[in-house]
Amino acid sequence: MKTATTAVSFLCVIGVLTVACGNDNTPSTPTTPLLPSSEVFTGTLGAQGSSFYSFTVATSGNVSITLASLVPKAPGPAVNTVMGLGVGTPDGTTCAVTNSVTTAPGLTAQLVNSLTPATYCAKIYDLGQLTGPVDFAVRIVHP
Amino acid sequence: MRAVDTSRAHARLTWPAVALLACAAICTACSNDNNPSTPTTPTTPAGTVTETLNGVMAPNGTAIRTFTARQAGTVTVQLARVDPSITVGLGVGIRGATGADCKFTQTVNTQSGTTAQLTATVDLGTYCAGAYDIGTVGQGGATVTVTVTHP
Repeated sequence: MKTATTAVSFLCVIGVLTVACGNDNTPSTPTTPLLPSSEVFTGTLGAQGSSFYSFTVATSGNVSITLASLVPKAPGPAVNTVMGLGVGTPDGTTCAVTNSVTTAPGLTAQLVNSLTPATYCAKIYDLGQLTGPVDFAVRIVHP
Repeated sequence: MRAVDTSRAHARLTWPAVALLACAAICTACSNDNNPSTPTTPTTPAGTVTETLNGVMAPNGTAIRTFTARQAGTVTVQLARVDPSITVGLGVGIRGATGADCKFTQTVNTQSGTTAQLTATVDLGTYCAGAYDIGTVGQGGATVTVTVTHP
């Protein structure tokens, strides 16, 4: 009877070890870094003007907004005019901004917010420094 | 004559044997945990990447290359060659919504040189850089070489 118990115990130990350690030596598959999804919001803005763009966040996470380009006449030269850049929620025909910055164009996000799933809007607006129309480009990176 | 309890003797011999076998199983199952048999490729490339654009730019035209920064860092853009030797616009930015044009963030009017004429800090993402005519390109066009170094 004890011999049978011992044998069963031994088999259990081996079974546990097999399950616990079976995959330890599986080589991991090399992965390529994934680029987050992004949208580019472009348009033309005049003096005292503003424009906004609605986008949907599907899962919670950081939303990065970059004022990337201001060009009076494409393709260049680019200008460094400081503009207003905001994020908020669409409200009829407007964008109700909840967070904003004043910033010149750049290639790193000037506005980063942790947002939950919903529809949001990104807004660009003149702070009084524009003297004529400019083409703008705003990149929105979101989950 | 003294009787022998064979079942107890058997039990005393069996449990140490189980322990030894368990140790042997542990050694066999887990001894290679710290020795990956296949090297893995780093998920983030180390260092920087250099990409080169060679193109012929038409009057009022552009010569643009798209590149992807796999991590945040510094991008340099060099107008390495332009033929004929003229001044052109050089820029770095992002592709527009349609992907057809490059929306420049920084620009400079420059001739070719041996060092980068533009430097920008970027996040992970896709960008574009290249040359554009500022009214100096003749009807025969201009051949340009633009080198982009990025993370």
